[in-house]
Amino acid sequence: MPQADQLALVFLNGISFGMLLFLLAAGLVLMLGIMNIVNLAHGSFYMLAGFIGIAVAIKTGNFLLGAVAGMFAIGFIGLVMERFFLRRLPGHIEQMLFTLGCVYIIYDLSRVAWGSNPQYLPPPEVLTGSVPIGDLQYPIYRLAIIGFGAIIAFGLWLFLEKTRFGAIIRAGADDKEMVEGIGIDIKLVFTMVFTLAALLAGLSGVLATPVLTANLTLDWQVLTLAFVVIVVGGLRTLKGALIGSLLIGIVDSVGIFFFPELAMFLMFGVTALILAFRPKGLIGYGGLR
Amino acid sequence: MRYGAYVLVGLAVFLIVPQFIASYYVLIWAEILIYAIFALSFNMLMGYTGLLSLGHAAFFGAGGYTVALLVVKGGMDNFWLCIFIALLVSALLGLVFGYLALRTTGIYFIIITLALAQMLWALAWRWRSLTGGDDGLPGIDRPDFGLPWSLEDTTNYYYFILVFFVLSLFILYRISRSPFGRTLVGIRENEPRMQALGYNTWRYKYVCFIIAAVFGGLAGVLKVYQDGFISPTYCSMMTSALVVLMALIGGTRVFTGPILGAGVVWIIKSVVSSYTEYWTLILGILMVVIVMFAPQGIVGYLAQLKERYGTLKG
Repeated sequence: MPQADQLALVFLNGISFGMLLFLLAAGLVLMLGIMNIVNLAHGSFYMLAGFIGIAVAIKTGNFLLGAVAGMFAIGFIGLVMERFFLRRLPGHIEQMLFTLGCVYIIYDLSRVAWGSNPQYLPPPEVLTGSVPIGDLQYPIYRLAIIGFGAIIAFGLWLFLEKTRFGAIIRAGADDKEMVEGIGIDIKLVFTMVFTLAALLAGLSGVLATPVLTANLTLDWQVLTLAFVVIVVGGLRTLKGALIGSLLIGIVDSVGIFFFPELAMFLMFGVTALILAFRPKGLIGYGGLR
Repeated sequence: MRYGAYVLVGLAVFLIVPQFIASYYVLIWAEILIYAIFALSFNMLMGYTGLLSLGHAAFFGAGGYTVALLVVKGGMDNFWLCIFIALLVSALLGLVFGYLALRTTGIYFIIITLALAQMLWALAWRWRSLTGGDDGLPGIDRPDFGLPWSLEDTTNYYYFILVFFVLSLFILYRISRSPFGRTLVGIRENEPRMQALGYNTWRYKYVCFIIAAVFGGLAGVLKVYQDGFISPTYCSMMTSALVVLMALIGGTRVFTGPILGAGVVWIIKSVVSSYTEYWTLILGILMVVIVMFAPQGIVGYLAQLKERYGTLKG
């Protein structure tokens, strides 16, 4: 039987990973809600941000600079993808298939640039070290991720609920025609939402490198988990994304700790159960909040 | 009647040509036939019900892994029993995945199929003691029927696959032209109307999903006997994306489209892979180009031209 402090560690790991998943899932939810598309390259964004972040951080010797570079590089890629490609495609299926093509392009270019060995970035000096939990030590960096994730989640909520642009996004999710009808350029909103989602994915990818490394298997691995999160939580709500992220983060962590080979059975079991009883996820498809 | 003539000519080509080409090319032909079955099964869903599944590799992998485990871990050498169990497992998986995924439509269906298939992939990848993880499982011998022609010979194995290909083609074609297939098209075009006419559209889609799963599993079985080896690639996103690309290039609205797509994609892959290691990059670019410029596919484009003569109908 595992000790209480071990269990605490497993839970904290789950929550910190859940926070990283939330940054991805929040972007997916925003895109789904307003553009009705799913970006299959979201996991690739995460992976590429990690690679770029590490490269820049090692060159400059500055973690923060690496993080900013990784995040904004992905934001720029998102902007280009939306503005010059997605916007010209007629249907949602075509748009998704376009993002699928991008997955393979990003994968192969990353393979050429960085090779298939995992890369690691030490956390910034302020956040190195660990705190004792029972008899065990817990890295401060992971706690920082949890705090940071909570701040971003709150910031997103403020942004959507309290700002004019947030109101436009929420209105767009409810009724696009009406939003266009009152003279708002919905296409500009699409571009901004897609870029914002890309920025969040980039942020998540860079933040993850000190704990999870950056490697070539991350794209689908992370995308799958992010998909499971939004399926479980409810596809169009940020609240669902948050609850789903924490749940899936913890299930993943518990699974890997107790039966590493069969962790996916646990994940599958939880997802299947939720889908069977609540096909629309825990929160449902309601408005964006 | 002209359709029948095409079929006869096609069959003759498939029968005769492998006698005159090097065994390396016969191998590629055999692979094309396997992927053609896979793409046809995928297109039962995509083309006839309009449901895009991004997790079709799950069934390819299920069929393949069932045979691999039965042969390698179970020591079973009865081909018919192996293939029967493998198809049964694929059907059961289709039963479960279909039940979970078909409660939703459109984008949600895509997400859920992808997530479910990826879970299967992760299982194959992480469950080392059973599946060998990413090292895979080697040692799957071709079936031995005690005939004078050994299936270890590439050309003989090719004819073996051809039999399954023709059978699958025939069965799927009959299904697509049956009242059942017509109902599926009706659902694709206007589901509420079909419901209003009294069809239980959910049940039709569910059955279609399971049929697609079984034939996807069949393709996996044939592939694993051909390779003599299985790895998690069988149920990876790469395989799912490949079949989407095949159907897309060939055209989804024409029954024979995916066969052509399988041929085109697999030939490009074979050629590209022998010159560079950038096949994945080419795959991605190909996908983007097709989606941007020819979303209806080759056969779809030809069919548009021919539609006015009424010889090819989707």
